[in-house]
Amino acid sequence: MTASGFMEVPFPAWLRQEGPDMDVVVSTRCRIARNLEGHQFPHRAKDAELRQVDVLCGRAVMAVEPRCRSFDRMDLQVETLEQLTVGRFVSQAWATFAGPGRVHVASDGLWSVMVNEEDHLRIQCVAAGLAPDSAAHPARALADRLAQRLPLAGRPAVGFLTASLANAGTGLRLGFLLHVPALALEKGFLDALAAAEHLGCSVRGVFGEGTRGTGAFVQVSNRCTFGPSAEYALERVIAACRYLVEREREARGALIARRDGLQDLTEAGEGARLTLLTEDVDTPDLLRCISAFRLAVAVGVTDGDLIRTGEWVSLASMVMWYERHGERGTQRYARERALARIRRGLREPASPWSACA
Amino acid sequence: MRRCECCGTQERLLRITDGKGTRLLCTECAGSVPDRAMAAAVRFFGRLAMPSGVAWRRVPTGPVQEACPQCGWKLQDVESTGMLGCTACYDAFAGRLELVLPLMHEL
Repeated sequence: MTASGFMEVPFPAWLRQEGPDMDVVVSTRCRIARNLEGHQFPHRAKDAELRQVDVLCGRAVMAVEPRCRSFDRMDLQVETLEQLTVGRFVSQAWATFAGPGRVHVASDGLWSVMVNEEDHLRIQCVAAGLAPDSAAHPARALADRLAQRLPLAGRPAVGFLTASLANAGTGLRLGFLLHVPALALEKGFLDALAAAEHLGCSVRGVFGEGTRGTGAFVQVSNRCTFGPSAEYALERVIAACRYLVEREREARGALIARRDGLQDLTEAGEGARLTLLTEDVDTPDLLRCISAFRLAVAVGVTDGDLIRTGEWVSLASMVMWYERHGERGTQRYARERALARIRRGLREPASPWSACA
Repeated sequence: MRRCECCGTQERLLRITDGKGTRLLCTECAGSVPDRAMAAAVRFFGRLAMPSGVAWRRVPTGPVQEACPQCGWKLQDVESTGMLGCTACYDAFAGRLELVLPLMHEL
């Protein structure tokens, strides 16, 4: 508990230590969707049924992991919700829906279980860098343990049943958040993304359809969750991600090899740091600055905490959500809070997660 | 008791939190209120995880029920949203789903 009496959101495991290939890959996320047999899916269920599902799932999660922390969606402070969102313990969809629901977060910040998101259960595990096993193993193990305690919905011909047909089968989505600013400058950028698409991946710009102007963050995930191809699709998405990592490193190498390349990168990184610290930047500039600073840190021309930049990407994602779906006052409020956290991180790199809220 | 600020219903409420506070509206009222933020939130929620590019109309129709006997969700609802209403929908629409699912998830 915090001094103010609110339950503290655990420090996210993916922000605790560096992961493989983190110069390019911000994080790996594994999400598993499950539903209870005989219940309507959350988008159709009335509050009484949602409450019933919430209780059943809560009992099962607490039996499996008694030390986890639970947060009731209907009784959340704005600051707590922000911490849960930035820590990637909850999705924007879970945060938006106001019906009965809860999120259970492992005390070590490794995983979370959202109850009554699009599906009754959304098990989520995020790992730093390109670490599919680190994200998928805990999520799968938790799903298996919950399956022993809950009547999960499934059919032999389909697999696990989900509210959206796009998730039916394994219900498992493996996604990678990539930072590819150098590749985005190249003519072959779209071809590289198309190659990943061709491998059966879903590729999208995290901050919009085009990524060039918005910091070049892309998300790559498996498209297929149904049938015998589902496991193969996971191998393919990992391969596609490794391919993009190599292409981005080649592009960075070419940037550095240019005349004054290192100096340009250094100036861009330091300029971004100064802008973040001193200016009231709008959202597109916020993204560009985070991207430029992260690139400079990743190639080693600027001092900074690469792990911390992952938190800022998450903050920017939250700001962008408000930018698209919130009203004017909300947008400004979210951006100011994000900037305040980023400045604190730049000035005091060792400031703890709990002090940021 | 939590109620929609517009019509008073207690079901299917959406919460929008901003710097000024929290507002609660049911999905129906939120859609009709001339408030850009609310309308956007409802649209966002309604779009969640909708499969794209699925050519429903080109799929030959198998023997399926028109509505789920358990929850009343209609086949046309599935076609327009890509969502099912409950677990029993998978049985009610099995004839159609066995054709559509492999198409949606092909590599």
